[in-house]
This record gives sequence, structure tokens and C-alpha cells, in this order.
Amino acid sequence: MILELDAVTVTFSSGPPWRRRHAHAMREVSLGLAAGEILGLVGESGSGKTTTSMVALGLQAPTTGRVLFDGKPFPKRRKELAGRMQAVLQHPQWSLNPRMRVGQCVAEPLAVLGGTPRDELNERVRTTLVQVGLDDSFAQRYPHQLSGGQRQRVSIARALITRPPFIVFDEAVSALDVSVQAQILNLIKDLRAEFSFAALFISHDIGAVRYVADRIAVMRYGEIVETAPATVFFGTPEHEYSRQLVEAL
Amino acid sequence: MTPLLEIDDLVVDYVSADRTVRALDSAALTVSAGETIGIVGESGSGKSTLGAAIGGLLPGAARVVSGSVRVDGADVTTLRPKQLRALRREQLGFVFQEPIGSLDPTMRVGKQVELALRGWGTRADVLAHLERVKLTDPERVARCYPHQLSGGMAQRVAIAMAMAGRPEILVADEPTAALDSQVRDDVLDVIFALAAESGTTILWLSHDLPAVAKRCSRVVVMYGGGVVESGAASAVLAEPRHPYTKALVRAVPAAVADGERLTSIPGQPPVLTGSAPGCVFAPRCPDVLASCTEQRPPLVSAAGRDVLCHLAEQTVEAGR
Amino acid sequence: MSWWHRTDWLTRAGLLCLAVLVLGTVVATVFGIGGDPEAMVGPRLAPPGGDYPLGTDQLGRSMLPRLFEGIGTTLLLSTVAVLVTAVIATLLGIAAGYWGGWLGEVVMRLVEVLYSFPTIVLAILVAAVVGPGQTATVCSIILITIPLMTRLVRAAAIIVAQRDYVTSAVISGAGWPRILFRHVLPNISGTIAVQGTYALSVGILVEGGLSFLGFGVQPPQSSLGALIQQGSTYLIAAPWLVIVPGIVLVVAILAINVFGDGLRDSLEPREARSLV
Repeated sequence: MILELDAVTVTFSSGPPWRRRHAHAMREVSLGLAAGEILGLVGESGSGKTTTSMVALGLQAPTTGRVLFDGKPFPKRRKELAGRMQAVLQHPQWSLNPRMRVGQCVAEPLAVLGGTPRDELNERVRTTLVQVGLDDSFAQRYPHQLSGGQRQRVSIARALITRPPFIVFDEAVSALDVSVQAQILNLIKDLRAEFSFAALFISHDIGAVRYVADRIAVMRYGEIVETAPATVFFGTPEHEYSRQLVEAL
Repeated sequence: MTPLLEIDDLVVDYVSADRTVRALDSAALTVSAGETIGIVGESGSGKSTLGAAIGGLLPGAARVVSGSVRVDGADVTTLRPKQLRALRREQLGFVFQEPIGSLDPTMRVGKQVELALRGWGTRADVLAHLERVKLTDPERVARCYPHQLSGGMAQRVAIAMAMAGRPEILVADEPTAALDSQVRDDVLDVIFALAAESGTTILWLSHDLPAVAKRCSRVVVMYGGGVVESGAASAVLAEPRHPYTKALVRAVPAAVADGERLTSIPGQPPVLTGSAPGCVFAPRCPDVLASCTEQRPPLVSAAGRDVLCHLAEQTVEAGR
Repeated sequence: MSWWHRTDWLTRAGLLCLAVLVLGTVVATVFGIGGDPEAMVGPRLAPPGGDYPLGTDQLGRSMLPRLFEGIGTTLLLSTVAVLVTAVIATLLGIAAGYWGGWLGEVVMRLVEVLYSFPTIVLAILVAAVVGPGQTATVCSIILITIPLMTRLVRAAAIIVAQRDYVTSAVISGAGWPRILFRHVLPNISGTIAVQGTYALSVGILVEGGLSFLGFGVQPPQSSLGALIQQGSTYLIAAPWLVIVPGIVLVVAILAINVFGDGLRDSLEPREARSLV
């Protein structure tokens, strides 16, 4: 198991101490992700998908429950995880630092990791850009010179450059147009076949999830209502809500 | 008989200090009363510009270079401000993507609906209008401020206001894009039910071809600032003629069978800076001909379908 | 497309005005145009014309060199103060915005306390503590401009800290120096520059007010505020003593504000998305 969530509950509190209000973003969520597997997580906005991704990435500590990455709890120092976990996030317009060239953006995770000589770093950036279907001349451009689909490719290149065993795709194709979305979904599939990383693919678009995921988990009101292999899920969904989702397809 | 809406050869540019972008390049569309039209296009296709042009609502940077937009015979691009306001008031209704943003944040919902009724609405009328959009507790909603409503509720209020004057045309620009998928269908149900009831023509702008085909009588596909294909909804979805529409139908992940690969469209949507010399889709088209890059494609009309394509011309001629 | 071509004529006019003021003052000071500002050369309260293009003051000093010296003093004091403010406000704003927590709370409460003082009361308070003069002027400007600038830097830092590229950097294991210097700072530098220009105009105003009240620049040195203060006694008999530095003060503040607006528009376009 590359990632394990064991009965994770996340509670957000607000308001003054005497009238504290609690909202459960996740209730007793248990998930396991095997090496090389893509788990699709579907649910409405507000169902706890984003919190789940933040917990999986170690950016949100669970209120109760346990998270294991590669069999160990998250280290205190983030740097120890460097290069082993990456993410591709939702907003193409904010995914890249507007003041950095594409090449610098892509190189960042490797630079953080350290120990790569400059020539090799540039070489890796070029090959990775080609792997995500961009010309290596893109390294010299600034993000505002790219389209939404190209930026998302750059984000994927950045996530891929350290060859991490685990990547989170948090609504990575939701903001893209249909034709571009298809390109990116194909790219994710191809790269997975080539580099066999495990991934948590989060989306409200059940069609996109069906296309890339090996296993599906459905979230609603902070709980996982059903987990099943993709083929089983889309053939015979168990939960009433899953059935609605599949029918809407 | 004049058609209800007639957009003819409309060219619109967005002019800024450093560059000029062509948003509409000879867009043409004719709509008769009572139709439900789905305008499908990706971002940059010009659909929102087209929707705004109908109400004379183009932003300040926009310039109408040529063409006309006629609502009931009156050309919106040349109307004086007073006449334009009268047109918007009496014949048009608009629903936008961001429901809470389209309501006045400083005014209670009931008051806003009352204003939309142009002063002759009583309290009971306001509640009746809120009830028509299937709001469960109209009394409470009327007392609320917009920020106290959920997106779905706010969008219903916006629909109630847009439909209060029984407009002849309702332009709905991605009305469900900002809403949760659970409430999307409900909101669309409300729009289509109200429009059917008052005989309003709907122009629904969307990027979701299958969803549009389910509800509309006619689908209009836009690409690169122009209408590339239009026809009966079910026919367009089942048997697209224009290569772009074909590609669009194939690119929806929900449409592919298990294990099948999505066919994506190579390349990027165009950003036009001036009039395109040939077909705007030519650089991405799998069946591109030599003439495509040099000559603008002709409008081929056959069997209730309009297609803007060189290929379509050939197939029609071959069929003759 | 250069920056100059993307600005409107108002911004260019503002920049031009500032350039003329600064260059004119520098050239005049270096070449001693109009003579020694402190030499009592002519008749008292002579009207403009002849040997004294802007007239003379109550001690018979020529107003032209005094005006140049005044502009120089005012701009220099304000600029020094605003540079200090920019550094402090950036540190405080980032601390409060990026790290937040109790540190942020403390910083913001302190800043709010400072903000609640009326400008001129704060300036007089400072003058009372450190004694009237240039130091008091600089300190007052710093204390008065820090609150607004800190709040805006904090707001910008909060927004930038939530951007996906910062989250991605955190996930990649980047440490805080990298995130601050490569991601946060470059993306809030526009805000800092724009707020800096506004602070500069506030600084000029504060210098004017403080010197007018007699707590700022002390005679015989001149500054725009000091000139107006000295001339105000002879407002009826010799109005040119007040009118000329007054106009320069207003023009300088207007030019800086207009330039700041233009800078903001070019650095933070309101329409971030593509038009189509």
C-alpha cells in the first residue's frame, strides 16, 4: 500500500468557544491505495473530496484516525517526503507562478530535492516537457503565454519530474474544455502506463473518473458510501447514490 | 414574416491597448418564435459574446465591426440607449453563470423581484413568481439577502426575475456552470417549464453538447467565432456533419465504451486577430482539404441542417 | 510591448511631472541656479520679477533657490521614510499574511492601534518625543504609512499563499525561504510598488503638515511645508510666498497619485482573464 487512510475524521470548528460549531468534512474515511493503482474519488462539491486530498497530501492533519504514506506516518519535516509525492491541482490559471519561466516551474521539485547538477536538471526538464507533449522550447516561456491545456500539461510535467510513486489529481481536468480535457485524460493514461505511478484522481465528473480510474470511491456528506473496482462499479453499483451517478452518465 | 431573432454576418472585435482579438467572425443565426436553441461552444468560441450582443450588452472593449442583430426586426447594434432599454425590458430576459453575483447584494430578494415586476407587482405577485421557480419557502426567500441563499436558490430567483416580464427571448449563459450537479437538472427543468408556459424562446449557451441535445429542439455549434453547424438536436448529436462537431461528440469521456480510447482533437482552439482566410478549424481538422486553408467554407444547407464546411459541400454534391 | 506603451496619457503626464520636479531640483542644486538659498541678497518681500524670478521672502532671501531646496528636502525625507516603510511593512505583512496564527494576530492588532491615531496627532506625538526636526518628520511618515501598507501587503500575501503554485511547492517539499523569495515576494512586489507610491504622496503631505505646524524641518533649512508656513504670515502682502510652494506641493501629490494609479493598472490588470 502506498497510501492508507484509516478511519480518518476531520472536523472544522468555527465560532466563539461558548457557541462552537463543528462541521465534519470527513467522517471515518478509510481508503487504501496500492502501488501503481489509480483510485477515482467522485462526489459533489462539499462532499469532502478536497479535504480528503489535503489529508492524502499531508497538508491537513486528521482530527482522529491515521494516515500512512509508504507504510509510515507523515514525517514532521516535509522535506523528507520531497520528490515522492506530487499534485496536479484544479485551476490552470493559478497552477504556475506567473513570474517564473515554464522551465523553472518544472524544475522546482528536482531543485528542492537537490543534488542534481545544472546541466542534468535542464536536460530532465526538456525530456519531461516532451513526455507531456510539449515542445522543449516551452521551457523559455512564461505561463501567461500558454493556454489552459498547455498549463495543465506543464503542471503534469512538474509533478512527474521526480518520478514520484504517488500523484494526486485534484479536479485536474474540470476547468478545461471538452476537447482539451480529452487530451489531458489520454495523457494521464499514457503516462501512467509508462511510469506506473499510483494516483488519487478526484473529480465531480464521473465520466472522466470512469475513463482513467481502476477503482472508484464515492463520497457523500464526508463519508465514503461505496468503493469498488471500476468494472464492477459501473456494471452493478451497490449504493443508491452510486446508482444515480451511473445512471446520469 | 420576420423571424424573432436574426443575427446576420456579425463581426465583433475586442480592442485593448496591445492587441485586437476577433470574438465573432461572421456569426449568423436565425431563430423563430418558440424554438429552444442550445448554443454549444468551448471557451473562446464566441458564444458568450453572441449572447451579450443580443441584448446590446457587449462590454466597453467590444467593437461591432459589421453585421446586424435584429430582434423582431429592430437592429440592436444601432438602437438608441432608450430604445435598447425598452427592448431589454419588454422582450429579453438574461440568466448568467454566477447567480449570487447577478443579484444586488444590498437589497432583499423580495424587493428585487418586485422591481423586476416594474412596480405593478404586489407582495402576492412576488411570492407567486418565487413559487413558479419551485422555491420551497418563498416567504423566507423573499426576506433573504442574496448571500444568504445557496447557488441553486439564487439562480432560481434570477430566473424568476428574468421571466417576470414574460420575455420573448431568454438568453441563459451557462446557467448551471456554477451549481452542484445535483441541482443542475432541477434548475434547467424550471427554465424550460417556465419558457414553455409563457411561450418564451430559449437560447441556452453551454459547453455540454449531450446535455443540450437532451433538452433543446435545435443545436447550434460554435467554433472560432462562428456557427459551424446547426440543426435538429438529436440529429446533430447522433450524426454530426462538421468535423469539429464530430470530434466534440467523440471527446466526451462518458461516451466511450470500456477500454476504448478517447479521440481528442489535436492542437488548440484558435485566437483570431482578424478575419480568418480559410476555415478556422482547418489546422485541427483530420479531413482537411487543400481548399480549407485558403477559402472560407460555404454554408451548406441540406435536410434542415446547416454546415459550414468544404467537405459538406462535396458530400451534398456527390449525393445529387 | 514596453511598459510605456501600455499606459494611458494621464500616467505618462504624472511620470513626466515627477521627472521634471526631481531632475529640475537636482540640476538646480548642483549648479546653484538662483544663488545661495540662505543668502539675504535683496529687498524684503519683493514681488516676482527681475533678479528674483519668484520674489524674495521676509528676510530678503531669493525664493527660487529656496523653493528648489524645499522640494529637495521634502522629496528626500518622504522617499527615505517610504523606503523604510516598504521594508518594514513587507516583513510585517508577510509575517501576518503568510504565517498568520498568533504572530499575525499580534501584528495586525498593533497595526490597528497605530491606524486608529489621527495622522497629525501621531505626528505631533512623535515630534514631542524625538524633538522637532528631520528625524521627527521621517519617523512620523513611517509610523503613519506603515498601517495601511502592512494591511495591503498582508491581504496580497494571503491571496498568493492560497494559489495552487504555492501549494504545489509545499507538496514538493520546498522550505519557507524558497516559497517566500521565489513565489510570494515576486507576486506581491506589484502591490508593494503601488502602495509605495501612494505612501510617498502621504509622506509629502505629512511633511507639509508637520513643518507647517513648526514640528518638522527647522529654519533656516527649507522644505515645502516650511516655506508655506513662513509665507503664511505675509499671505496678504506677499501671496507668492505661499502660492508657488503650494502649487508645487499639490502638483507633486497629484502626479504621484496618478502615476500610482497607472502603475496599479499595468501591474494588476482588472481583467486577468482573456477577453474572449
